[in-house]
Amino acid sequence: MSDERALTEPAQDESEVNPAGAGGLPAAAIAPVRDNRPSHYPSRETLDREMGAIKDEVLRMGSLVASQIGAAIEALVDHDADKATAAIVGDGRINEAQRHVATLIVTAIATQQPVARDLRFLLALDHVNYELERMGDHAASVAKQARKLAPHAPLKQYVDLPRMGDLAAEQVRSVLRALVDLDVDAARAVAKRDDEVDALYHAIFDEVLKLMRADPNNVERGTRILFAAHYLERIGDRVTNIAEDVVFQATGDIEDLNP
Amino acid sequence: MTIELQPEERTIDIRLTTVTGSRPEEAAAAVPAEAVFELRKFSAWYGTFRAVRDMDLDIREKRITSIIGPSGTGKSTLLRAFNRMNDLIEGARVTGTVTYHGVDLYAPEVDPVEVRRRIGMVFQKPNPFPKSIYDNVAFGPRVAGLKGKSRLDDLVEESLRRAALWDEVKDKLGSLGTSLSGGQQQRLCIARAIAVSPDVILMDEPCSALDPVATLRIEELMWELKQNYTIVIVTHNMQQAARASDETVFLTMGEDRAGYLVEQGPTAQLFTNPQNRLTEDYVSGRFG
Amino acid sequence: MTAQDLAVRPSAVQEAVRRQISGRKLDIGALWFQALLLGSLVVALGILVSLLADVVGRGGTVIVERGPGFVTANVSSNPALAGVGQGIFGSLMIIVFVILLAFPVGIGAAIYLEEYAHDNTRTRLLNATVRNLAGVPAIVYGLLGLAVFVVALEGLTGGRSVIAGGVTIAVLVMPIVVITAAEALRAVPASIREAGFGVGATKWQVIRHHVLPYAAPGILTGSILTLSRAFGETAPLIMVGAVVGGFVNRPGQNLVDTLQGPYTALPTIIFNWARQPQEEFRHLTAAAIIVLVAIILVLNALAIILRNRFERRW
Repeated sequence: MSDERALTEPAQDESEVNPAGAGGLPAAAIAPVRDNRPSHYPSRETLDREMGAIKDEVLRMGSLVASQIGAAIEALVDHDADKATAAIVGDGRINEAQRHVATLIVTAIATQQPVARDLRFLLALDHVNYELERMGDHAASVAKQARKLAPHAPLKQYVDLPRMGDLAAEQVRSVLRALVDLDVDAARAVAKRDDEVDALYHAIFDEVLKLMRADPNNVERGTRILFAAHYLERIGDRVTNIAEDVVFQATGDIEDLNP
Repeated sequence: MTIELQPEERTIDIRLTTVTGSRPEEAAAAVPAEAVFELRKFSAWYGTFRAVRDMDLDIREKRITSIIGPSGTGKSTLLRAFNRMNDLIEGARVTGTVTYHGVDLYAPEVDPVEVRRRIGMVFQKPNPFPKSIYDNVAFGPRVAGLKGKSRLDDLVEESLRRAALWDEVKDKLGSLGTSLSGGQQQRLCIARAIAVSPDVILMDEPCSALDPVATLRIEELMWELKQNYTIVIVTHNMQQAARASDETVFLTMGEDRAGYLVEQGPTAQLFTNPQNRLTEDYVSGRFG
Repeated sequence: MTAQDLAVRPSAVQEAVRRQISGRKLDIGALWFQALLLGSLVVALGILVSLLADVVGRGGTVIVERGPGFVTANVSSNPALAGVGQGIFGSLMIIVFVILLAFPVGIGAAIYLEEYAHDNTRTRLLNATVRNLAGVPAIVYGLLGLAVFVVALEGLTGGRSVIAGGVTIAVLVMPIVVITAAEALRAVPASIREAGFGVGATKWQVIRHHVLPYAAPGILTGSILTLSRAFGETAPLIMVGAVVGGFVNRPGQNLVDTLQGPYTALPTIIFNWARQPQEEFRHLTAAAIIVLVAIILVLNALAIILRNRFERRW
């Protein structure tokens, strides 16, 4: 299990975080949402409030997606069909969340008439919303493969898949932080790290192919593992899309961060 | 309904950046509010001309309700019926019932002067009295019988604070109300209305004579005021109704040139998914 | 092409535009109209100025020679001693009556008509009646005064007295007071009234605290102008018996007796002196006219000053 999982306590505000308690990291290590608008940027209270709410919801949804990835991988590695089923069902919550965020965004646009920067950001959030929902679908797809694999013996020592899952979940978290803070450097770093995801994917691909060539009985299990890895890699790509959104929002430039 | 996360799912640090309940109607749905005004089959007439026809309407307390619709649909007439300002017009009369906290507003024993103390009004063009800022705010309490300089001083300050004007005028309370800018004058009129401790504040297109900056300030002020007052606002500006109100009422004109109620509902719903085709056309700017 | 090129070789478009917008066309009609208006002004002022010049020319010497004595001296058949003192006193008394009677009643009536009366036929009839009364010739008021105040109410007024004269003039100017006050009240913006009602004031509170203060400058100006008009009314005073003689001042007489006794006023003095055959009286008449005009000018100037002071406060 990665140490990111230890981040179990949400920090309502810094003062509530108990450095010594509940396995959470000390307060200083938990970076709060940074409002990086210039200090002279005047506030539009109602619109800011609503955009803040939408950002919160998107973060929560991302949190959910990350934990879904973890749940799916866990089901796969443990060959636990019940865990897999739970993960598949859990995707429903992500879909519901997506509809909720979409409603919030439409309402905010209709009632607050944002323009310029605010409008572009809301549209970006809508795009992110869509990507997160697709990522949730991918995670559920991994869980479906896990359920199919559950009754059989493990094909190999699962090493790279869990690593890939953890990395994907971490990428999701990181890119959403970068989005909410409009942090271009962080976004670029996330996009770069997708190379690691791709590398893991290729490693799994080669290894499983070898196993399948070696013994026809391995083909079904191997194929399902390949599918699972593929879905994780897709999650990585979608994360990169979001990173590109962040760069566009912040700089106005369209960069292809995933050549 | 925000997403509920189990403890093990909270993997991203989320500092709650908003107050609870992002949209007013979410908070509103959680706490059902009682109606301050109930109109049943309400019609307003000027002589033999019917301006408003058979309206059934509820105004809920501590909300901002906006009344929108094309010109001539009786919006201002409807608004002025709430505080019996139409009584000042020769030939104006009403049929049907208007109840205020359950009491019939137009019963013979009701004193319109008392009604207007409890239901204040802010007008389209800022109309401060040509007196000092202090006297503007103090006039209402004075004629209501409040005496005592220090009590009046406190009341004036409190009202100006609530109208978000105190800091700008505290050093010049003696200067003329008409010497302020348009936006400040309107806030002065709001302070004047607040000074008599009303329960409801009616606003008849309060921002139509103001520039966009002043307009947004008044809208933010309305948001604060609604904690303590029920606010009903007539506006020509649909975007303002969308931005600033919790509930919206849409009126249009019938064949007989009387205004009638088309749709009433939460603002977010009216502007994203209205029930009535006429409403949708109007808010989309597709006028028939 | 640089801007310099364009300056050296203006394009056809530029030329056309320049031709269109340059130069002023001669609007003969407007010039003629302006000249006509100016001419009217010159004629009107010219008549006035020549009248005044004539008067000053004829009466100026008297004023200069006799100085303040002319103003204070009593009426007398001897031109060398005659003065307008009693006339001024009489006119001032009449003004007092106007102020005490016409203003309160007239302003009150205006408030009723504008603020309280419903807009129905009866009110419109009342308004029309007031306007008609304002147009009735002054001599008719004189007849009225004679019949009512001098004869019928002789017990109260003492017959041909300054009381009767004052009341007659007061009645004469009352419609004008009503009209000017009503205009001033009507000029109060509806928004002020609405704002007053909006905070829960009663009708009287709105009138007292907002409408009247706002209309006060207008009412005041109108009132003072009415006074200066009243000062110069002659025909009614002749009818109700302002004699050429003056106030009788017997020893042991109190104010009421003085008021109930014979009297005179400045306009009637002028009228009577104008009828005298002697040459000196022509000069005296002119001198008295100068005094009358001067007083009226002072009153009008007062009206303007007061109006400016009040208007600056708003």
